[in-house]
Amino acid sequence: MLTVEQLESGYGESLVLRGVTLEVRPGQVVCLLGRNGTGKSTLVKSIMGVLKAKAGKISYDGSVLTRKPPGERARSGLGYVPQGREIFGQLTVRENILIGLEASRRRSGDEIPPAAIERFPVLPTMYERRGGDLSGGQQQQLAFARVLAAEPELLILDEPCEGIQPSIVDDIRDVIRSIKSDGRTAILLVEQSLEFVRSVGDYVYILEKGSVAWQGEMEQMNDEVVRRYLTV
Amino acid sequence: MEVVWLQLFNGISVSSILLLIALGLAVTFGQMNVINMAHGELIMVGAYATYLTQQLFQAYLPSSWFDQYFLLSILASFAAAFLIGLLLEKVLIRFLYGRPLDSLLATWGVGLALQQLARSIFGAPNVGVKSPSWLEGGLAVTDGLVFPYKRLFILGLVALCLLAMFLYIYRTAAGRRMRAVMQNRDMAACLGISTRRVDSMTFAIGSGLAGIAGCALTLIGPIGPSIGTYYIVDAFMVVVLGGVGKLIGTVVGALGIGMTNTLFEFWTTASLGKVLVFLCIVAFLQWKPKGFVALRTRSLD
Repeated sequence: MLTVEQLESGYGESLVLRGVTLEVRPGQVVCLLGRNGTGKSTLVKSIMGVLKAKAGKISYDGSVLTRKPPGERARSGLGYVPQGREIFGQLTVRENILIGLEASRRRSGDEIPPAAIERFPVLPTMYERRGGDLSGGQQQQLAFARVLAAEPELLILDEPCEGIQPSIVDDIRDVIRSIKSDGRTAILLVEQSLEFVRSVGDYVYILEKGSVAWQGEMEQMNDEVVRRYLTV
Repeated sequence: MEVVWLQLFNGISVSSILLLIALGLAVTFGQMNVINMAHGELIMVGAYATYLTQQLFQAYLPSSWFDQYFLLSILASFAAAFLIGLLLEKVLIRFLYGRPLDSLLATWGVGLALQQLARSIFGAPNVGVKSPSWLEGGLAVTDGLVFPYKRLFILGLVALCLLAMFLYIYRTAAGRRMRAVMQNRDMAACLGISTRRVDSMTFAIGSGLAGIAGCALTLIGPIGPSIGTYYIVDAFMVVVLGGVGKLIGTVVGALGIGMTNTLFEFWTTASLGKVLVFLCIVAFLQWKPKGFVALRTRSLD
């Protein structure tokens, strides 16, 4: 469903990704691993269209996205939870979720779909608060609710557990597990915790110096692979 | 005592017109980081749209209808400036997003071209617009203190525009999209918002407001091709003083500039008053470099 072929991308003149090829199939959880600075975030930003691809091809459900603006990619079914959450601080919690509805293909006016918030019972109690006033963990839950409002077919998560307290980390992981067990949404996950990756992932890509250094089924990722590509 | 009241009233009146002009500038600068020097010429577009509406009424409609032309001309001036703003955004401004200095030069050129166009069509001399008879005279508060109806009308018009802007920005889905883009353009785009459409809509609405300002100016004096240049500098100062990202900043900025302008000019002379206003702004910006409302917007970081 999502295919990336020979993608080259980067910031300004500098090239970070050098020919990345990757595939995510419907309902699959694909994990993207690699040490710091190997291009994981650059890759997901290029898939979303925040960064323009310099070469290569990104296609989704048969249509080519390489030159499309991010808004169109979101409307065709991609959902993105960026590193650092990127909540709209001046908008209320309700407004943040309603912005998430912009990408929805069946608009239901100004009503928040129950599916978006069923996993986050704390959010409806703070609808009128400003997003910027929430704690990091609450903001991460809001970022999930916001992206789930549009019912994406492919969820791109960039380090969803970074910088939040351990109890919320568990909540977020439960959310990711429940999205996986629903089976309707594929996930492309950038994550540091090997233990968590092992518990949810189906397939793994490991990046090194901007290209795919290793790929394979989750069971094939043995200690040798981990030592070679991931331990610092 | 009456003189002081009259000066205060004049100050508020000047502020209200500045506010109408600066609203459009503030949203385009806040959202797209574009400095639009042609904004003054959109005022001119609105003023000439009013003039044209009047000419059409005089030429084709019975004279008893003439007094109603002004209400229609408000809509006509908004529509004319809105459409020209939309065109300007589509063919030029959108290539200049995030490049304030380039946009400054390019829109300056557009402004000069628009002024020359107006000279070619309407002639270089100023033209007068006859105010409707129901705006003649004034409200006598005491014997020596009369508030002209025209100024009161402009105040009401500005209040109405401000209210409409407030409702648009804070109560509609389109306004919500606009605020999201203003705060975090990339993330707004990643959530499915077409930033192109939001940008051109925002620019066109800002232009339309300038058009209404032009319409209001026809009540105060004769209009000419360079009418916009008298106001554009003050309007920019309002934006700098008020900060970007929130309506209230622009309101405070407009009141600050309008009132200090009027009062300093009253207490000293026209040129010394202007110097004092500039000094106040410089001092204020030393204290609050980002203006009255310092909302951290990504586009300005």
